[in-house]
Amino acid sequence: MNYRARPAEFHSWRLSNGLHVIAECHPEAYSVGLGLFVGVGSRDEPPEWSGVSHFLEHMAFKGNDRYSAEELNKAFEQIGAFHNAITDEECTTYHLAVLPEYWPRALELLGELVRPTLDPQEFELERRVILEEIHMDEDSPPFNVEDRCRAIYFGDHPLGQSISGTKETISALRPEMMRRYLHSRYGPDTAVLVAAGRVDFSHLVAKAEEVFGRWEPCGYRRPLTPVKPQDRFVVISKSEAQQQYLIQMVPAPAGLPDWVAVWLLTAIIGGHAGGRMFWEFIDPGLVESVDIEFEEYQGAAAFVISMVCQPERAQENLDRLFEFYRRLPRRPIEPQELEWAKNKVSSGLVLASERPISRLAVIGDDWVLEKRYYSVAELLELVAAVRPERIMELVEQYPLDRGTVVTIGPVESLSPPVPYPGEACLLESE
Amino acid sequence: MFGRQFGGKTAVSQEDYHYRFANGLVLLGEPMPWLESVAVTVRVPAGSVFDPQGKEGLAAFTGKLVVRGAGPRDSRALVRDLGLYGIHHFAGVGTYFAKFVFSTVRAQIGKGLELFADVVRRPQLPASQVENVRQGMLQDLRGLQDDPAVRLVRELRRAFYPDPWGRPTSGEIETVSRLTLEDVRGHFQRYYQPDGAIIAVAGGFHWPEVLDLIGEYFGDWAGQRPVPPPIMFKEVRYQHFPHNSHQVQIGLAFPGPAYPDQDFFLAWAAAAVLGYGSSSRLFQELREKRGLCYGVGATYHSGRDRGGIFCYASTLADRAQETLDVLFGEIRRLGEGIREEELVRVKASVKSALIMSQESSAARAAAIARDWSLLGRIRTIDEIRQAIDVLSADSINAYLRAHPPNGFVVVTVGPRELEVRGEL
Repeated sequence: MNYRARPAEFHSWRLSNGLHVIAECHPEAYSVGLGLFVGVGSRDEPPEWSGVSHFLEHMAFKGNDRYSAEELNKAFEQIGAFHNAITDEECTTYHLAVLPEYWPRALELLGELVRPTLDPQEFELERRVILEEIHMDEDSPPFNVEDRCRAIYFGDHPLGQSISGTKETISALRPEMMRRYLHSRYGPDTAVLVAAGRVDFSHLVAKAEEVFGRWEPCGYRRPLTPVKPQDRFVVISKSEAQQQYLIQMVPAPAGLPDWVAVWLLTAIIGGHAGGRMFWEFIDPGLVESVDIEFEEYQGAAAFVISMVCQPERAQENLDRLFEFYRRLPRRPIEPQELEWAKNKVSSGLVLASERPISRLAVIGDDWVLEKRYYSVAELLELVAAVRPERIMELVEQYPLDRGTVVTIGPVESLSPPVPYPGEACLLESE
Repeated sequence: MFGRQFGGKTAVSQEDYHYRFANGLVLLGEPMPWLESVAVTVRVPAGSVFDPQGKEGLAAFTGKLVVRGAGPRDSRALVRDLGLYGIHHFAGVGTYFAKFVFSTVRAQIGKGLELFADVVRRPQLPASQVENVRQGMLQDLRGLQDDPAVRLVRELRRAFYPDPWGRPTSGEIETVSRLTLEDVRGHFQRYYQPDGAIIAVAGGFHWPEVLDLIGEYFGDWAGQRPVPPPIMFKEVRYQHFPHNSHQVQIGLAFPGPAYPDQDFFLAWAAAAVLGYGSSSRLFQELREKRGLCYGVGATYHSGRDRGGIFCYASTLADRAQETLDVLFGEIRRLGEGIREEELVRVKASVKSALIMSQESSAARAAAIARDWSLLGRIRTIDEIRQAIDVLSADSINAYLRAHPPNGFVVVTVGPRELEVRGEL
């Protein structure tokens, strides 16, 4: 099967202050996706300020010397923009979808977001909202077990820091601290302006110069310390939970030129219909859910495996999962299995490419990660070129029966499925 | 063909893209020739309202078993072929319909229809898969007990709608534990049939080819239209479900016009002013001005015979009473009317949403299938645009004066029961 991508033109430009402007232009699209991707996140925070990036993302919408919070919200909605923001370990993204005639106005509003006043009264109100967000996460499955797994796996490395922070760090933050963080992290040298859809590039550059041209560089460069992944096995007992939740993190290849091979690997072994984990665990009803994801960061990458099942079957499923891992190198990738994964991934790429806002996310994340751009047509070619032997190499080089496992639920103790040294095994209770 | 805008002339009207087969099956189309994708939704009137008392969850169980092998393909072959043909699919059972939805590139529509004709007409319903499906459903039912926000939605729907329309489609642990293959076969035979079923196609397709394909795969499908079960009204005002959590989840619903009702757009716009987006009254008052919650908002649920405005908020136990009181205050204040500027922003976001929906074949296929099932016709994008354009603050306020919010149902999930003050 041949997959076709809608033709698109890619352009990039650097403003005199260093801000990159990149765009994938589709003259026939119905909308424009626009985003300011600021390449700072939880890994760029001093530990005692944990959560400041995410809190700052909230404060960006709380007004500045030109607009009150309410006026800013109204201004976005007057042009029918669907706007939102998201913070992760490495990036804070302010993004929106808007009709083509309104993108210049939308760009002006994005410019307003990066110079918030951080008014003390608004700061206090928003602190309460953030604390509610933290409480909500603690109340809902999987009860922050991802955060705990991340913290243990990465150890002292800043990638282990929580995105939302803790109640203690959030309660201790002050507007002056956030202002210092803003000035030392947000600038044309850490951000990229991204557009996708029906936008004229020269017009975009001119407008970007007008809005962001006087933005001063912050001089921040992320220190890239090596990651020392930890092997740990932690059981947290939470008696009132009904199900058992498990997260595992394992080292994965970072910075590969043929990283699409890793995509195909996770599609083949994953928990989506037709993947090997699906047949092994979901189809027979052994678990509520199971999956494997590939997470790539600057200078590091991890496979993240998640599983939810009933507590009575937790030990059996955990043993079965590790047995499944050990069988992987012994079972070759069949040609039909690879063709299946390629078709699934390729049609997914074509379907998703029809919305500028979904392209925006992909283009922006790739650029932030390593200033790279792939068109959908190039991605389709990369996918088509992957050979089964390459996937087997990855399976052999990156075994999954190790790393950090954290589980939370009614079970009080579980035996690790592989030997972990005594101090690496922990039982905790809530 | 690219870049079709509102008001632009299209060569063929929507009227030309529907066809009723002799067996009662309705085919609907929305051509979007600028797209490479095509999306198809197959809706069969076999949803949870048809579950017999004591067998709640049967429709959902059947919906999961029909995809485990159909026609000549067993479960593995079916999943393998869907992937090989690049077909992204979803099957889910709703209140009235069992829905089978797929998206793919335009060249593969024939393969998709072939596979899904087998699923809805010739499933193998293998005995060997019954326990697997049951275990999967029981896992899901246990899982939702852990999530207070999911529990809230489930219980608020149950409390607000008359039985069986508010019933959770996923059933209960006790009923799902008892379902048998005979039950599934009976449900399939009675309800998986063409009269009342809808197939909607949107995206890049060639209409004569689609007509031929549907004729070939579904034309000789036979069966009788099911009779919807009787409705049982009940009187629920406030219900609390204890849950060991930090926050209390608050849900509040009140009735509004059904989708076909002439007042629908008036009430819908009022609900959007109340709780849709970050300029809405609920977001502004509860989150921005008081910092009471992170998640807050309102959505309009509209069906053929009834509709409702569902409001949600979650907050720490010691501020939950204040949150409920403020929420109620804002809802009652809506009865005093809205301002023109509030309507302007709602109109702007509707205009955006409608135009952008032309970028999604899946969204349009779902929208036309829903329109047909609720109205017996399709509201085109232009028609909805016009209905929204003519709304004014005056017309909405006249509606609100005649129908101020009342008839409230309140549900809370969390560590503390609240006091519901004033008239419900």
